[in-house]
Amino acid sequence: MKIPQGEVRLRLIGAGGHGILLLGNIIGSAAAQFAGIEATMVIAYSPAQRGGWSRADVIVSREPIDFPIFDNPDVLVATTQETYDLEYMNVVSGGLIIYEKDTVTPKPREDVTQLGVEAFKTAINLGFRMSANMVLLGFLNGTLGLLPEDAMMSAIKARVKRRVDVNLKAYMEGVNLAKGVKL
Amino acid sequence: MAERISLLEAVEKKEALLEPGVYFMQGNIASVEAALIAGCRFYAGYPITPSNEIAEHMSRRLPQVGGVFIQFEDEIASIMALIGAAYGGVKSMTATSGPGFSLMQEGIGCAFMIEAPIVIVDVQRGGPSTGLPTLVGQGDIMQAKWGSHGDYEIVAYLPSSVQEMFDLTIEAFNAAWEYRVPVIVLTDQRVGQMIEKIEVPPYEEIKIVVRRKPEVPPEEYLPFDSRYLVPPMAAAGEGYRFHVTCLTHDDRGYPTTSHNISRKLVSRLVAKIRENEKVIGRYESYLADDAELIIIAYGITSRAARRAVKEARREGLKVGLFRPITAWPFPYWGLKEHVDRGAELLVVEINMGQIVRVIREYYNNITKIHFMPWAPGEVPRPSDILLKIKEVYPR
Repeated sequence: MKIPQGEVRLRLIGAGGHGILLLGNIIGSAAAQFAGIEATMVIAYSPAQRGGWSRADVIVSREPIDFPIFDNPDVLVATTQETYDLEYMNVVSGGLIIYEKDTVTPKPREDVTQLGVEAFKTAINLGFRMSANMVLLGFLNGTLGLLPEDAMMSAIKARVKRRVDVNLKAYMEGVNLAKGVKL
Repeated sequence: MAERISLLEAVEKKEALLEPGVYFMQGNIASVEAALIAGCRFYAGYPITPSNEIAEHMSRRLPQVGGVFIQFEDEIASIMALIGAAYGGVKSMTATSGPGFSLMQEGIGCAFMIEAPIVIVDVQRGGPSTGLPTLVGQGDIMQAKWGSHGDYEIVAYLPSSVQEMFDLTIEAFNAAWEYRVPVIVLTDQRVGQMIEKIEVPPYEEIKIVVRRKPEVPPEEYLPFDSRYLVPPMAAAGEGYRFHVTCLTHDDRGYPTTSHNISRKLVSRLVAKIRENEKVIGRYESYLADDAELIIIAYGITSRAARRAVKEARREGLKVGLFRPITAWPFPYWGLKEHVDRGAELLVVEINMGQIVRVIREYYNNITKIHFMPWAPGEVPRPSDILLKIKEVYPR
């Protein structure tokens, strides 16, 4: 995948409880509060309040962002088969899909890069399953080089309310998993 | 004119206000934090999507700054409580959406009649009626102006970003207390619920308007003193005893059927806004100076339009954007120079035709006015607007 210059559109989607909104808030905070660039986020939920999906559409940009809504992301992060199936065809040609390896069986798309990561397993090994979203965040940032590490770490510290240390560790695990990944 | 003082003078140090700095914050939350900085210490409301983050956050934050939050039985009670708080000298606010805004109309008229400064945030959703509770609409523009009966003028702001949810909420409080009128922050679901970068400026740069108090002793005080455009306001408990009624009233506040007094009162009430329309009314232009076609859009729609303008420019079309920041008073004067040199206009809004009527009022038969209505529930994409631009672009 070619990292888009200027504006990067990320769609983060998963089951309610997977920490999707926190993931979006951390990326947005890292960009806006700690890296001094622009960010927007719009959120959406499936009609079912429990057991449904939740989605965060985040734009990170060096320029002021005209329009926060988009249909086709550059990057998709999906944590369940249902949400992957819903969105994988919407990713722009040349884009990137990051999926949870143990829960998603990817489908063929020749024109995008697809990377699986064992976020849940990694988080469970750290003793805190809820930090799976931080593994994904680390993997995402390690792969794309979206934002400086210290901005991401500061945003995690600012936004995560419980067990900040484990979350930071999970983030670093994600970064490590991305080492050697070539886009 | 009311006295302007800086925030540092206006608030006590112990109060926990959002500190100056950069945040990644939701629009509705930014509106709450701005209200607290503006001095709001009373909130009365009834829950309704998509405005609920405002009530929820207020219920947590107001007690921290020494304020009072009450969830009432409905919107009618809520707006009347705001008026009561204002007459107690307390800055007060509510938030709602279309159906609740409808219920508040009579109270808005009452607030205008008795010159109670209050702020209403209307997070517009799709209508009519119960409509689309979770989805966007811009269908309350005319209701904000004409929703209550009788002759009145309103001030309504049209934020298009989280930053403006913050800035314009403060301005709304300032306008309310400067002119003693109800003021509406007329936002929409997308702007209210989006999360974005926002910068809270140093407090000393934020101007806060405070109540102008009477300078005469109680026995000489006239609560609706027609020698003033905006009479000084005594608050309950300050020793000024007077009568207040939403009936047509004289300078002392007592009801009357005198046509002469009715003329004086209504003329003065509308003059407060009409004589200051260019002080209150605001707009922003983007690439409009040489534009042959100017898009008029506001709120979230203006952001799609801005992108469409950029794309049209890339294709060599001279297109610009005119974004009203106040719906009321409508800043019609900002379009004049462009229309005079022959620019055509294209109105894009998430309704079946509201602001376009205002544009026609001022510019019909002077230039061509195109219109792109858009049904509630979704925001037109930049590509949708670009198609319309190409359809109507003057050749």
